Amino acid sequence: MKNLFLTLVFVFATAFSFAGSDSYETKLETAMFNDCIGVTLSCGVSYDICNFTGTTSQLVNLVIGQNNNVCGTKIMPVE
Amino acid sequence: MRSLHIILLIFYSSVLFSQENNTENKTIKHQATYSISWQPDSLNVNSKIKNKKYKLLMFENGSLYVDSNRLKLDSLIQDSENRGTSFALLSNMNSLPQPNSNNRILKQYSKNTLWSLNQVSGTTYQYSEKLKLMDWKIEDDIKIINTYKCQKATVNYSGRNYIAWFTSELPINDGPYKFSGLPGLIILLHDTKNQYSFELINFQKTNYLQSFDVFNNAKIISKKDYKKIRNAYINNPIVQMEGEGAVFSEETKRQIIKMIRNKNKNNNNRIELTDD
Repeated sequence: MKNLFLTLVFVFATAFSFAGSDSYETKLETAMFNDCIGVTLSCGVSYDICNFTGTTSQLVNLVIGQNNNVCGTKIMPVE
Repeated sequence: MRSLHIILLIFYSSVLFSQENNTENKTIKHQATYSISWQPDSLNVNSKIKNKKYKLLMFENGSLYVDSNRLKLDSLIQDSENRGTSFALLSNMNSLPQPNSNNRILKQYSKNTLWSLNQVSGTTYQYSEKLKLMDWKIEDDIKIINTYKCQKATVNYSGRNYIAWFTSELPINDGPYKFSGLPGLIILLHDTKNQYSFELINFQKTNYLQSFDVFNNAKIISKKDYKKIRNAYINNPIVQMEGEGAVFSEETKRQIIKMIRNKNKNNNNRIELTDD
């Protein structure tokens, strides 16, 4: 019982220590991207993105942009 | 001497601020939907791509012109970001809206500036231009298009001759792409070779806030540099993607280069033929 109590205290303390600066989620995600993650585009092309230091949203925007350019339909040529 | 420093400080501050665009949320008062057709290969009429939807979102003193699917995609990304589920978007890329263009045109009438935002691979760039006063010639011809009484106007823009039909029933001096300056909204616009056409298919009064955050995250460069980056990417997309953290096998590199070159093959008919 004592162990359970100590574990809960540790979990809450850790969670609250992340509050107030960047979100807990962002910190975890940023840490995760220090290595590599596998990406598969909509046309089946697969590769890794490594050492990405931004947030999840920045990574998602990056991959979606790469997907549009590699797999998307013919793009209207403007300038 | 101190006065001179203050004057110089004010001058530099104003130069810096004039380089920025106004990217706070804006209330969209009117929303127009255009159906766009264009001919990617200037020599092949059968290459025409038809009925792609673009939105013109109009706010006080300006407008944003953007691919409808791009808007849907932005909205999906924003929603999932708010819910903390952004990562889930990557699990099924096929289900995401596919824009025909990531190009966004932001007209700022109060600053006499036009911002063009484009995405090359995963990186977004923007450059500014002076909002040109187009040398429209308004003619006497009148016809009804989509229930609107329209009047004809003609202009030469960036190497193409255009015919526009505008309506004073919607007294908004705006239109699709970079076109503006007529005494009413442009209802139909096409070049005289019919290689590019824009037709209004829906117009509504609205009242909602539109985020312009995408302009905050875009790198500001010159139009000339943007063209260099775009052309370099088409020629070899791997350099740009590796700069964004992508790591490929040699086979995947060859596959991507082939796909990008095939997509851009015969995509030779740019809407802007000159740089003026």
